[in-house]
Formats: sequence, structure tokens, C-alpha cells
Amino acid sequence: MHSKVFQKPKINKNSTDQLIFREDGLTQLRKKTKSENEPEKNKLIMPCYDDDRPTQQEELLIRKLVDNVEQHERIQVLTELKNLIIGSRRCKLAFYHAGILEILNNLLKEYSCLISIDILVEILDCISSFAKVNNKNLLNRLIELGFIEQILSLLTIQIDSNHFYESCLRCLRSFFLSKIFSNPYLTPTPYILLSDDNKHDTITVLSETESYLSNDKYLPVNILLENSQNLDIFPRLLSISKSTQISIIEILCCACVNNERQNQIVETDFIQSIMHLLVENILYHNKINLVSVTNEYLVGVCLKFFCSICYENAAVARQLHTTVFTQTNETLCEIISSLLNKTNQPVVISYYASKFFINLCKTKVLSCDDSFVSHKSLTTLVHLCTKSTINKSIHLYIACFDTLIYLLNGNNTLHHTAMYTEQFLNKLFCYLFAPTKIFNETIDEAMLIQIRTSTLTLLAVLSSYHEDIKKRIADQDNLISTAIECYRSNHRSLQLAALCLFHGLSRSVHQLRTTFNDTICDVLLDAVKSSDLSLVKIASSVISNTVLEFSTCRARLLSGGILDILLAFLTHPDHDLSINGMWALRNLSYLSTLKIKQDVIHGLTIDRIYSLLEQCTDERFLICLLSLLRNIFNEKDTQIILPMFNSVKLLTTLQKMREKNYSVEISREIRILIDHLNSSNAAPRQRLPSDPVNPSCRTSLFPEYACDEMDELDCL
Amino acid sequence: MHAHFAQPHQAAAAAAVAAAAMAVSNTSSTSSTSEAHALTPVHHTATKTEWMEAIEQQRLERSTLNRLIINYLVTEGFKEAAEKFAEEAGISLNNIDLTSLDERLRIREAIETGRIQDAISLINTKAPELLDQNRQLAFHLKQKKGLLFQQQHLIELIRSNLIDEALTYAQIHLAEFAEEEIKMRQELEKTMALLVFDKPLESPYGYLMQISHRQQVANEINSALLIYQNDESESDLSMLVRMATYMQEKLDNKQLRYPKLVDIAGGKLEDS
Repeated sequence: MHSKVFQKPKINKNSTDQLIFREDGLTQLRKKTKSENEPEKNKLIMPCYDDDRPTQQEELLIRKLVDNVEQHERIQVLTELKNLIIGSRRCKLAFYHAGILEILNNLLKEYSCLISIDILVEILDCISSFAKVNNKNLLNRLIELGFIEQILSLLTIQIDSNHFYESCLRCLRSFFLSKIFSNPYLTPTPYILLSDDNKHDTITVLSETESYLSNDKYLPVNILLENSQNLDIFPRLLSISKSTQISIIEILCCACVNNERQNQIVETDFIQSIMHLLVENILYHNKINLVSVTNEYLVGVCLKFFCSICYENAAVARQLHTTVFTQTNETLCEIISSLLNKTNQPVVISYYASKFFINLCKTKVLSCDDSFVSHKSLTTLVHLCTKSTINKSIHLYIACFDTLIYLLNGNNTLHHTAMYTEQFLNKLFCYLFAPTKIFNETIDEAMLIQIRTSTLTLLAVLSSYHEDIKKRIADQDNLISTAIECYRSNHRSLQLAALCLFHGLSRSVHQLRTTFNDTICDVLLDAVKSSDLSLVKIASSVISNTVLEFSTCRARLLSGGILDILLAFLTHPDHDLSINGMWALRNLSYLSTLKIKQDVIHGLTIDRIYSLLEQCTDERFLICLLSLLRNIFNEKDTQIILPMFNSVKLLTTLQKMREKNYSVEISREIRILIDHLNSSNAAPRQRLPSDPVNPSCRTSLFPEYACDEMDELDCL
Repeated sequence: MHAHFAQPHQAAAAAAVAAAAMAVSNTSSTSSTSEAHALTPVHHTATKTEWMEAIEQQRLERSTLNRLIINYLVTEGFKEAAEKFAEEAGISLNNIDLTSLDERLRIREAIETGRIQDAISLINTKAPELLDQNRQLAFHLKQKKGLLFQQQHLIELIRSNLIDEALTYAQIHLAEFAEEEIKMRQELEKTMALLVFDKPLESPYGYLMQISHRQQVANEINSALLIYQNDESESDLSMLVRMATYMQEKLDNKQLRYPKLVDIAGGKLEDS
């Protein structure tokens, strides 16, 4: 075992600057510090401790652990180790490099056979501390050594020691709550909750942390649930103490990573036992007591479980909706809604209770006009966002915003309800423009970015449908300039959020005519050429709308070469992007000049158009193409453009398409186009008025919006 | 300590909160701004007599006041005092975890007597996740607590004039805190600055070496432990005192004259 030992620093009292000023005192030191260090102040780069090795003393400790010593000495050494590593990342990594994990693994195996509780607890507390380090190599090693399996095995032993079980479960919980393994928002902090990022890839507000794991077998949840009997360990342990209850429920929350795992947990019948705990602790919480708020925490954790278990799982959501607490004959919904009825509820409880109903709404178990959703949950979340401080916790604000995004995205009927208080919008603007003024303590940059991202995205969602809300938001001083500034930051999440806002606003004729200036055009042109596909896709959605004839952006986009870019998108491997490309071309050609139409045709080429008509099986793409052709064959230009296609060949192709078994919408488009072309071929007096050709705004990239919902522009 | 019924100042604090709240709501219509206009006459809310009458009308039960005291003693970790008071006041302590109280008391004593390593050991036995969670969470206050805790050990080394050991300790154990956040770095710089003074106690950062700083750290650890075990981190009495102070500030901002509670500990009111 090689290790580098720290050298003791050699202090030369004449050479160190600080000590020269010992007689002169602090004033001289300040002068020196200010003059020499000021330029460096903001560029101070702290050393990294990840590669540090143990000190001599720490090396000695490791040797003692390995030596064959008496049990009481071993406990002493383990306690000393524990006291060194807890709270010190440097120590943990240094010991890790020295091979401490393997030593602890051997000790754990040895003393598991002997069932030596005191030693096992010390070892488990050490492992629990190691599992809290944000270092993927260390965590992978913990998993490789099989610590999770060993803990699960220990939990099956029948021992009369609550402390032992609490230690085991705390250790297990540390693995599940690790940011490396789990959702970065599911941490011990009660305010950090579920992330919605597994369904909303384009909205990256929630996750910028990549998974460091290359192999699924390293996920604690997979280790736990690969053997379904492992879950059977927990029910017995639920009755031991509040600590075990909290640990188990939080582990189960973390295990709800997908529908399969959720269903597995439901099958083990945790719902009834956790509901029982919930009711028990609500009743206790309601009594006057001056000593303990443990019950409040437990209520919060139980609610978190119900949110996790039904998230994006319609079957489980339906089950929870009908679950009844047999002792009082109340449904789970009634129990949880009673928490929303009470004023001055702890914020965590209010938050999770609201999120529960929102999850039921998103799985369509509850409609969005259900009072649990619109009158209780939504208003509670809005109220939480506007509270002046929530224990100064920025995390809860972010969680509230993200949950509101989740709810309101696709439920535009709730947008006006969300805006029931002007204070809500004002708060959103404050969080966006000057978040540091709201929070008393200094927040680090990562949090700053997160809250601004969530705020901006929420504004984007709110501005995506109703014209009056769009106007209110767009008219806010500094909003557009701030959004542009966010795009120009180096932070991807902020860039995406800014583009989402532009997209929401672009779904309005009025906004296209007034808000979209040259600077936004330049932003879009920049984004659409980005190497980041997510940015390109959202930018392309915005461009789909901003190329419309009445948009102030159109000329600048055309001069910026947007036509070539859109044509290139048609053959892009990403399907959404290719759809966006065709959609944008369609909108571009609406009420367009002859030159632009000719440019589009030349870019596409006649042969390719025919090829697509004959062979394309993607219905969305085909609808866009047919609409594009309709726009191109506008009355006044038909006589010039039609010969480029050979009118007979075109009509024949369309007739053949009509005979195929396309959807109603495609068939309608084909029919309209055929009728239009036929009427164009007829003498002027015989021409029938063509159907009004409405351009369509590209629907939101927010997945809830289906194509046909937003087929019409929002016109004043 | 002999247990006795609530001191007047405790009753006054609770009643003052209620009376002040009433005063604020009654006078809210007189001015909507916090600054008084130069020509606006100063309003009186009540004479001292009226004020005292309002307080007397609050009818605070003695049992409530006793529970306030017990809550204070338990939260701050005064186990013996809590037991004796409970006995004299006839209050049951069955729903209070006295073992936990004892542990917090021992931790407090270890910190206040400078036995920081002992305190660390006790904390890690009672709450093995506390000091790790203080690193993990993004809460500035918890990170600061972690630094303060280690910082105290460094301060003890400086106090004992073990300069070499102090430098080594800072390099090994504290430098990693400094890389996390600038405030921690600043705290560390202040501590290390003590090394340049012949008489650190008389330096601008001498307060770090005062016993009061140990008490501050002990209080913060006590609060953290209470939060960790999901208890209230602050006694109800402390909250009442803060509320009374807040209410009086509100009244002062409105330029209102009232019998101000000038000495909360003594329950002394200012003459209006």
C-alpha cells in the first residue's frame, strides 16, 4: 500500500510574509494583502484534495485496524476513524486511496458472523459517511464490494437492538440518497423532491447532472429490487422507531425510478402501512405538544412516498385514488386534502400534499378542474412561491416552480387560476431579475442558475397559450433583455429556458409583430447553429413561428441564411428537427413572395418533393409537406410555379395518394390541394374560391401539447 | 435551582406580543407608510395604565407559562433544572427524551470547556450524519457551523501557543472547507490571522478566542442537533422574545408612542 505522507511544514519565522509583520500588527498585513493579493482575489484557485493521501497519523490508524487487536481496542480505532472521516471529504478520499474500504469490508464480514453489535454499528456509520461523498470511483467501489447486499443481509438478523437497525438503515439510505446514484433532487433535505426530467427531456431545468454510472447493476435500486424478497425485510422494521420509518420510506421514495419499480413496491403492500403511519402522525401532530416535531417530518416523508409511487404511473395513481383507510373509512385523497385545508401548515407538508394531487392530475386520474387540483393544490403552490421566506430555503422555491411547470404545461385552463394574485408574477420577476435580493444569505451560483432557470421556464409555460398572459409577461420591463442575457450566459439550462420563453411568446401574432426584435433574431440564428441538439430543436420551434409573413423577424432570419438551415434540417436524423424544418418551410411560404417560394422549391428540388409524396410514411411530415404545397400554389403564383412541377404528374401523384389509406387529416389535405390545383387550371371565371389557408404555429415542444390542439394562431 | 412560577418578564413578553399586535392593527389605518410625515402628529397607542390593563386582560394560564419554561430548559439542555422545575410545577416529563437531553448537555459542556475532540466524538455517536449532512446541504448556515466547529479546535491550539500544530491542523483539516465557499475562506483567514499577533486576544479577531465564541458554537451545535432529531431548534420563549422585539420595531417605525418593553429580562416598561 503506497501512500504519500504529508510533510510537516517548515516554518521560518523570517521568511513568511505574515510573520514579518508580527510586530507591526494587522494594519501592515492588510496593506500587503490588499496590494499584492487584490488582483488575485477573484482568481483564487483552491487546490483539489481528491488525490490526497493519509497523514502519518492516519496511516497509523489504518495499521491498527488491520492488526489483530482486542475487540475493545478495535472499537476505539473504528471510533477514531469515524470521527476523522465524518465531516471531512479530504479524510474520506485519503483513506479511500489507502484501501480503507476493503479493510472495512473484511471487518464487516468478520463481525457479521460474530454479530458484534458495537463494532458493526461503528463500521456501518463509517460506510454511511463514505457513501455521502460525491466521488463516483469511491461509490462504485462501495457497490463493487457488496456493501448494500451485506447490509440487507444484516437487516434480516433478529437482534434486540434498535440502534443496530437504525444504523443499518441510515447506511442504506445514504446509498440511495447519493447524488451519484439517484436523482440529484432527492436528497436528505426535505425540500428536495422528485424530478420530472425523465419525461421532459427538452426542459432541462431540473437536471444538469449526468449519470456517472456506465452499468445499471451499480444502481442501489437495482441491487435492492433485483430480488423482490428484499422488500419483505422492511415491513417488520417499520415498527421499530421513527428513525427506521423515515429511513425506510425515504429508501422507497428513491426506489421509485420507473413504473416497474413502483409496481414492485406497490405489490409489497407498503401503501396501507405507510398510510397508517401518515394518519397516526397527522393525529399526533394535531395535538398540542411543545417538544417534538418529528411527526411533522414523518408526515412529510409519507406524503413524499405517495407522490413518488404514483408519479407518471396511471395504474398506481388510480389505486391510490380509491384507497381507503379502513379505520376511519376516509379515502387517501380526503386524508391528504385535509392537510391542505389547514392554514399555517409546515411548508413541506403543504408542498407534498399539493404535489400528490398534481401527480394524480398528470396521470389523468383527476381532471384539472377538480377542486383538489385547481382550488387547493395549485393555489397552495402559488402561495408557497409568494411567501417571503420559507426557512430561507431556495430549494423549496425551485421545487414549487418545477411542480407548477409540470402541472401547467399542457393544462392551459389552469393558467389564469395560477395568476389569481398579481403578487405571483411579481415574485417570479423578482426571482428572475434579482434573486440575491430575496434571500438573506448568499446563495451559490449553481442555486442562482437553478432558480432563474425554473422561473424563466415557468414564465415560458404561462406565456404559451393565453394572449392576455403573454402580453402581461412580454410587457414586463427588462424581461426580454434578461431573457437574452440568460441565453448569452454560459449555462445551458438558462439558454434553454430563454428559448422556451421565446417559443411561448412566438405563438402570438401580436408578439411576433412587436416583441421579436433583431437581437432575438440573432439569438435564434445563433442557437439554431449550436452543437447542442436541445438548443437547436427549441430554436427551430421558435423559428417555425417567427418566419411567418407578419413577423418582424422574418427578413433578418432570411438574410441570416435560415432557408438553407431549414432545408438541412429536413434530412437531420433527429425526427423532431426534421418535422420542425418542414413546418418552418411551410410557414415561410405562407403569403410569401414568388422569389421565396421559388427558393424553397429549388432548395427542396422537384424530384425530392415527388419522392417524399410517393414514399414518405411519416404522417406529420406529410401533412406539413402538403400544406407547404398549398401555400406555394397560392392563386397568383400558381400559373408560374405549376409548370415547374408538371401539373399532370402532380395531379396524378396526388390522386394516387388519395387512393391510399391515409389518415383523415392527410386525405383532407390531399383533397384540398387537388381541388385547388384543378380550380387553378380552370378558366378564371370558373375558379372556385380556395379554402382559407391558415398558417399554423408550430406547437410547443412541451410534450403535453398535441399537434392539433394548437393548430390556430392566437389572433387578436 | 428552586423552581418557581413564571417570572413577570416572561408573562410580560408573551402578553406584550399580543398587546403590540393589537396596537399595530389598531393604528394601521393612521399611516400606510413607515416614515412619519413631518407635520403628522405622533400618535399615542395607550397610556402605561391602559397598556398594563391590556396585558392583564390576556389571561395567560399559569400552566402555559410553566410549559414555556420547561420548553426553554429542555431545548437549551438544562436537564437538572428541567427536572426540578417539573417536579415543583407538577408537570410530567414523560414525553420528553431525557437521555437525548443529557447527551446534548454533555456535548455543550465539552465545547464550552474547550474539549472539542470529545464533543466531536459525542456528536458522531449521537448523530453520525450531522456533520456530513452539514457538508452536503447547500445551506450556508450549516456549512458555517461545520467550519466553526473545526475552527474552535484550531483556536484552542492557537490559545495554547502551539503554532506549528495549528498550522498543520489548518492545512490538513480546514483548508478543504475554504475551497467550498468564500465565506468559509474568510472565516479561516480571520482565524489564521490570529497567528500574526503577539497578543491574539487583543487583536481585531480576538473575539474568536473568547469564551463567548465557544458558547456561540455550542448554541449552534445544540440547534443543529435539535433539527437533526426533528425537534424545534429554538425554544418557544426565544421565539416570543423575538416576536416582541419585532412588534416593537413595527410600532417604532410608525412613530407611535407606547409603553415600550425596554428590559425584557426584567420586564421593565418605559414610561409613555
